[in-house]
Amino acid sequence: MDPSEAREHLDLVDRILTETDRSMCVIGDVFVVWGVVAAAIDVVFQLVMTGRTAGWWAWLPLVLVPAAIAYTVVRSIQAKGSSDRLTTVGREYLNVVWVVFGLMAVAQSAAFHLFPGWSGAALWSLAAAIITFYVGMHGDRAGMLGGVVLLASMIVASFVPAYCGWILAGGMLLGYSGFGVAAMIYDA
Amino acid sequence: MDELLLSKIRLAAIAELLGSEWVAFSALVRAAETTNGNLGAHLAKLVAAGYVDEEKRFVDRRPPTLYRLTARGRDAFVAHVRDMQALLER
Repeated sequence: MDPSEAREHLDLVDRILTETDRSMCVIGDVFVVWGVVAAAIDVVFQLVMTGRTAGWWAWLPLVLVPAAIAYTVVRSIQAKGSSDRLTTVGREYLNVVWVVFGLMAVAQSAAFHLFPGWSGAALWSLAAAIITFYVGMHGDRAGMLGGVVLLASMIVASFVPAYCGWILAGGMLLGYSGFGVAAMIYDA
Repeated sequence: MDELLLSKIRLAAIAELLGSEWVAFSALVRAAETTNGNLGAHLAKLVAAGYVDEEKRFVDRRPPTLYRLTARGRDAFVAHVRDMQALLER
């Protein structure tokens, strides 16, 4: 191989590495569903804790969470089938999602004495903030903004405990579902 | 120089696989800017050399073929690029 051929080959490699899709393949509607589910649970708990609705509504998560998990699984299978690649950063993103939500689920269900009251809801806002910040750090400004909104909702809720559920719900709707809507618009 | 990677099409396929866990055959065809038959023959050589793994899955009753870069293929690609850079610096 002569130097001009070597230059040509290196240019080809450079072009392919520059043009290759490195996106994470975020499924926007899954963010929307989880944001709405989390917000609905926050609102229901707010209403139950202030005595404005019957206590049996507190069982709502047992219906909503499995439904959201089922939706996520179905959409993930569909996305895998229709995609022509899984990028390395996409794989890392999926690992981060499972680790973060897995740890939060264990913290909330197995260590509930450590996280009483609203801290369980705050844990989910924290998990959502980690995910959106992670997406944001890979160049997605909507993700970064979503993370900021979620973080802000936790800080505000901490100082206004009487409206904790409403504020955390608002953070989830704006920060998490809002990011999902932005991702869907971007994909379209 | 790695003889297998002297082909532009094989080099393009490896470069395309570099940042991905797996890539479908159709995406590799677009990246290498070649025909299905031509790329298929080149990929068969990379698979035989252990540079690339091939996997067939059934999605909607169609069998898309997926390819992933092996550690051996990654090392060969890095060494090959290093050799080409050294050639240019001489």
